[in-house]
Amino acid sequence: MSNHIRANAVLIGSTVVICCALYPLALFAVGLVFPSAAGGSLVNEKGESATADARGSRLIAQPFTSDEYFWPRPSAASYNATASSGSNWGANNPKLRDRVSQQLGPIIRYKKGSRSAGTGPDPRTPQQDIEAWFAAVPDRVATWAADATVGPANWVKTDYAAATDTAPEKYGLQGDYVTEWVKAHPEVKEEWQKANPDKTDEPKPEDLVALFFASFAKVYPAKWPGGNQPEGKTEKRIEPVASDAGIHANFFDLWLSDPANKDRVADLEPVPVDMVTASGSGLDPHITLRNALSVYQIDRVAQKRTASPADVERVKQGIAELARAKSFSPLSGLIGELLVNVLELNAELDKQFPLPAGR
Amino acid sequence: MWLLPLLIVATTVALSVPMGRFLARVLDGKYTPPPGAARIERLLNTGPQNWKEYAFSLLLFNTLMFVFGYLVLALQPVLPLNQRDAAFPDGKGMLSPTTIFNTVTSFLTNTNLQHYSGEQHLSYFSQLVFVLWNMFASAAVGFSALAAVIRGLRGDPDMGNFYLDMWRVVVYVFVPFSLLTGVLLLAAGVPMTLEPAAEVRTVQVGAMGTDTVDGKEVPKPQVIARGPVAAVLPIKHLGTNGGGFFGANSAHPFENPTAWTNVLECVSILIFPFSLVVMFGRMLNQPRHAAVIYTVMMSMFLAMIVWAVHHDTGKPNPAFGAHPETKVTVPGAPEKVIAPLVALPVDSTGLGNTEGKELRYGPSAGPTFAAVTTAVTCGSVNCMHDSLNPLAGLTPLVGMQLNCVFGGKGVGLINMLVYLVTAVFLSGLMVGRTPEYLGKKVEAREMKLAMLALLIHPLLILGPTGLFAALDWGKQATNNPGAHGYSEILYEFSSASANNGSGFEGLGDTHGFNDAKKNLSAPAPFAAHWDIATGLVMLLGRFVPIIAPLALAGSLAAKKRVPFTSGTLRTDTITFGFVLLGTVLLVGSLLFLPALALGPVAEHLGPMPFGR
Repeated sequence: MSNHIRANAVLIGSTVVICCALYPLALFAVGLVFPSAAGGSLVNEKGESATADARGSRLIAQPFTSDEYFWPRPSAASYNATASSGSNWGANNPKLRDRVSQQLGPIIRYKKGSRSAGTGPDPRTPQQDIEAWFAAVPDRVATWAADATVGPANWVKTDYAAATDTAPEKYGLQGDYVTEWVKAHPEVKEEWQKANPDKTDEPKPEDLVALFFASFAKVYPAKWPGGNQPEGKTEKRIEPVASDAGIHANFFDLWLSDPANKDRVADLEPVPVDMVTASGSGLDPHITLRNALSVYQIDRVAQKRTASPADVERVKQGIAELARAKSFSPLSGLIGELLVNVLELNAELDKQFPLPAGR
Repeated sequence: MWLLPLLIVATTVALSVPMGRFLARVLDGKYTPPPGAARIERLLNTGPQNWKEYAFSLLLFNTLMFVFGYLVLALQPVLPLNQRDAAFPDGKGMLSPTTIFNTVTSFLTNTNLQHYSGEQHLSYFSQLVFVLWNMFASAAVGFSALAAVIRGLRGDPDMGNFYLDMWRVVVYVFVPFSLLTGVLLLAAGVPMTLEPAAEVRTVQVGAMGTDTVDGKEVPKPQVIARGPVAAVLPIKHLGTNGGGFFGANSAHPFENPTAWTNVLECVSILIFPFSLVVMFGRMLNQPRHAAVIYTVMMSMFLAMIVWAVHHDTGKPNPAFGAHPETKVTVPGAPEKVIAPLVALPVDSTGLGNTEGKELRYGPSAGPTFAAVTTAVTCGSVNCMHDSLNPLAGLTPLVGMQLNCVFGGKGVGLINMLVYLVTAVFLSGLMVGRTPEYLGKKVEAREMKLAMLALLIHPLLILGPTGLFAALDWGKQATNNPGAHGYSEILYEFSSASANNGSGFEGLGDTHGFNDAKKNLSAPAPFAAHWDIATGLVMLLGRFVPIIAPLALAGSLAAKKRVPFTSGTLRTDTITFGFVLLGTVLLVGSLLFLPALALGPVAEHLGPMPFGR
């Protein structure tokens, strides 16, 4: 036994020293040769390696939401580089389809010159058609809330914070609106209690969502409870509106499925798949060049970065040139799609195509 | 699409032959120890051991590993190198005790099933001392066990010395190759630093949201976790450990920054499992027999890759596609009509399913990595397996359930040897002769041990899966509906029993810090149940399939060699290859097919956005 103890002590001692001290130290020494990589590939606003005053890491995606920038892929981790993760949603999860169609609704376009878009200088957009379709049936929201599985509950739970030891659970603007609505319309709660006689505790906003929308549709037919920000205020409020991004997002999938819209669906411009799917880490810094050059990205960016409308085509050409110059394909060109790094592309964009004054 | 898997497999096959010879030399002691090492080797060498002594040393060492690991993790808040940054101003606290139990068993069994998230829950000290040391040591344990089994099979009087084997594998094999891989990874952009998370101002000002400081709105910085990643990564793959430094594992840009590092990581996962078969042939002096095993494993492996890539990269995500109206009729229940769905206007040409995948490795890298990592029980992932297309999700499940397609450090080949003994036995019975393997008679005692090693695996997977799927423990942990949620549970236990460690990561099994207030997200309701159940499965799934074959080899070693005659079943022919393949597939598929039919197959056949 004593020789076993000796051997274990020597084995553990020596391997801990070698594997946990000498081996990492050797790599730290190698790291001195690659200081930028060893520190996390941080870059400054010019896209040069920097440690002080860094504006990002070349390898980590940053959120870009303004119209003058190229947008990265959606992130299940909200671009939080201290909590990487993917959505982990399988193909059979309605949340996945919901997320994608919600993202598509407000941005989707008709192909240029197609029947649905028309030929005028301001082509008709799918958003206008979705709103018209929505308004055609006064209680569309009620049917939606009664049939859909994920959307309405998600709407109520937007900005919801779960209870912790220190704070109670807290609903966002929309959840609070439902709570207020129920207070003002006690019949909603009564109806719920009648339908659920076995439940004694207070109904939560997500339980009441279907009844809320039914009641809402009666009071405001063909309207949607949209978030509005009144002039000069920082706080948002919910108001019944007839035109809202929420309508485009929530009703896109239903509008699509309506056989009456078959022709229009065929005219839609397809969206590159990487624009609507989340990456595994939530921090994928690249998009495909196809995505960057699609009407959903470059047209928007070029519009914002041009001073006069006559110049748009020229700027668009310039930005496309830049994106092509920045693109690369993985494995030094052996495999796959051409990609661009969103952070590097946007930093270069700020340098070469600054925002025109006054926009 | 097919170039990447081809490149990976071809490179590894080419490297595996010289590497296998090198390994055989090291484990046979045919080398001159570097200066100073000879003294340590003398101190370690407790003399020749028979199978019982070898197994005892192995278990004793693992017990000490458990104690050491538990201490390091439990004392994490007071130990040094506990970085403080914007996300964790007080440094990292202590994990919940069940999570520590799970993590320690997970790392000592070479599983690396992670019920925590690396960048959120571990300090740099825990990463460097607990994770790194366990990765080196646990991989070497499986390696040493295989060496002992081989010595038993070739009829050595003893099975070698466990401590000496461990030393040789860690110091002469793992450390040098890790160093080499580490340098390559560093050059490609993997961080190696002890500085806390970096805070950067975003390019679009205020893109991360705003904070209110003294009544003024200030843009929030982006906080970027980093650390000594380049030290952990090489051995994570070379040792087929798979425990990621970050929560997203090898999908994280800091763990796997370019397509080249992705190839390097795939090759370093595969290199030792491939070479071990070569080493097996070399040590037994039976190269043709080893070639048959190699071919059988390789054909299963290629089939797994082709299946996964075809169903994932070759097909778009079915959630975005069109679906006809479906009627669900169950006798005695009202008919349910699932409304048709129109395809979303999404263009997946050339990319396939990109949900949960990184673009920079190329389109087919995700499914290829999924096949690689589960064939050899590595458990590192570069895409989220949960989001693979339904049928592509079969590949990782099958890889873990067969658990002998090259398999983990040593243990995979040991499993294959158990299948081999079974194949010899079956074909021996069919022709009515006493079965023999390598000139030794296979009798009742050997078959009992082989069956024990073989049947513990399905028992450990299917039993707990059934239990958890039936109870709230499982139902509340899944984050996908229906069949896919069940697959998540099945996957978790397959991964634990096969000592793989990858996951259908949607499963809610993370408790995090013991002090729940310090967690970034709320603990999962049944985290403790998952911790303990998978912990026990990992322990049994590791040690029974190591000890039983050791005993089997010990029992064969003690037998007299029977002379080779014209009636002897040859184990180095193509015919025998088919017998072996058939045994693996029949035994494996018969055991798991019903469970798989309920999971991925049901999901594939069902209406896609389920429940609409």
